[in-house]
Amino acid sequence: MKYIGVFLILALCAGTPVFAQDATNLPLVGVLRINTPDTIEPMATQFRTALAALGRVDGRTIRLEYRLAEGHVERFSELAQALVAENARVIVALGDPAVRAAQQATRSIPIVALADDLVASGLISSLARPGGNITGVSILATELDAKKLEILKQIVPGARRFGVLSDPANTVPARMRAIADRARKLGIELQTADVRGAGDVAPAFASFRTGGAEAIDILASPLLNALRQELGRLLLDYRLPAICQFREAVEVGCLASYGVRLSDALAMTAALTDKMLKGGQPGDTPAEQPTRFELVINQRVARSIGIEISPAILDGADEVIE
Amino acid sequence: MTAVDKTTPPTTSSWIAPSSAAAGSAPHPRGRLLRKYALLFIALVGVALIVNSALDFWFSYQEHKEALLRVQQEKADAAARRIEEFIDQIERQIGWTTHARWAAGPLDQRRFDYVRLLRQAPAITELTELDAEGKEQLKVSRLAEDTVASGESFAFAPAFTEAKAHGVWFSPVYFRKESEPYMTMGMVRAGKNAGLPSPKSI
Repeated sequence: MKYIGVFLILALCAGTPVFAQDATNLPLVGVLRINTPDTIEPMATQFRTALAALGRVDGRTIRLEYRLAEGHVERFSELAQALVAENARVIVALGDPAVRAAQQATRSIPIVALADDLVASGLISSLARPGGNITGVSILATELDAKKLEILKQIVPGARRFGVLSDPANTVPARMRAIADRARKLGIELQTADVRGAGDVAPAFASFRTGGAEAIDILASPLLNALRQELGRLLLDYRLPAICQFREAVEVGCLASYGVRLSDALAMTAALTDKMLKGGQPGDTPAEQPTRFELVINQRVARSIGIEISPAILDGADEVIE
Repeated sequence: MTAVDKTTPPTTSSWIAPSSAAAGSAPHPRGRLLRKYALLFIALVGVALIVNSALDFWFSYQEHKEALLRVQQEKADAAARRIEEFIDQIERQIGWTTHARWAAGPLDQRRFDYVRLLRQAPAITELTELDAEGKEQLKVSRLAEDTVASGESFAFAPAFTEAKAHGVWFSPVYFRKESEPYMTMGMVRAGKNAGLPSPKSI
């Protein structure tokens, strides 16, 4: 019996360093994002939780690491190359510039992209057969950005001049054309302002004021989503009704959001990451599109900027934040 | 002679050798027979065993195959039932929205009823209302543009012709942008026609 105790103590002593060594050898999943460290939530937790639900627990079965470009798209290239040098098993890239940098850095490591429109951006050839070393989740931004303009017009039916806040690194010409077409049909005028970094936000709002914009369509973009706090504050300051991509922006000052649920898109990204970790062939793994869309309206914001939303619109909303 | 005598032993011995060999082969016929019997017995038993195992294998393979098929069939039946229930549910939801008096309501009211229906039935991506001639009166979509009285004709579309003839029509499943499965459903209810996605998650 006394030997059992000794054996157990020895086993425990021996086990600790072995475990520590294993942790460093875990397969590396590198995530490329435009955000700064203080804006990575709630996406980081949602993605980690979605992976853990599939048995890919950070620190136990995989090593999940965020590589942040902190608002500078030109940093993606270096970050992607570093992940390749560290022999990452899967690279998860969020947004067009991150995906492009990952594609340039490697032709063998599987890339799981989460981007606004993978086909329209030319990142993959088709959803069914993406080809190369990439697959991912395409969140229908081309259709949704135009649809957002239509919903915003329904919310503020009297408005004639609409501002469009765009991130040129993510907005392909096809998307701008779709928005311009819809604006023509709705009989409204558009004023576009580009945001390439945090410094462009304040001038963009100043130009909207000069141009007389009455409402703002904030286009789908990881950068604009990362800047949502700043955008929300300015929207409230300028008392402008706006429609954003995700619910998260509505919580901080955007009047409404319409589009896919971020948690759905991240769960799909996690499932594809899991497939790649199991040895799936990215080029033969169909890219996916979410099928659930939600309209979220913030009544508090509506009241503070003096907008009255018709009960019919509120009735059609999936969630109304009071 | 001695020389002869001397030479004879080898001759004799050469005789002895075969005779001793003959003497040794005295039990030979019995041994050979025994071996033959043993071989025959082993062969018979072996063949019987092989046949038996082959039959066993064949039957268990058949049983296994049938069991697998049964399981697959049950799974497919269960999935089909769930899909059927799902479609029935959507059909009912559309039915509630488009009750008999509904068509007489103003266009705006109908439009908001559709929007509410989209909220209640997340599986529906698009709803199109056609008049008796198959012309589009109203379209409410989650992704595409909402349109009012576009007048686009669907008079020859199966969603219209088949639904008119049989009350309800379901299209084959198709893939939007070669990705998610969708299905169009045509329903006659004061001249309505609904397009909706197939139950992808089922």
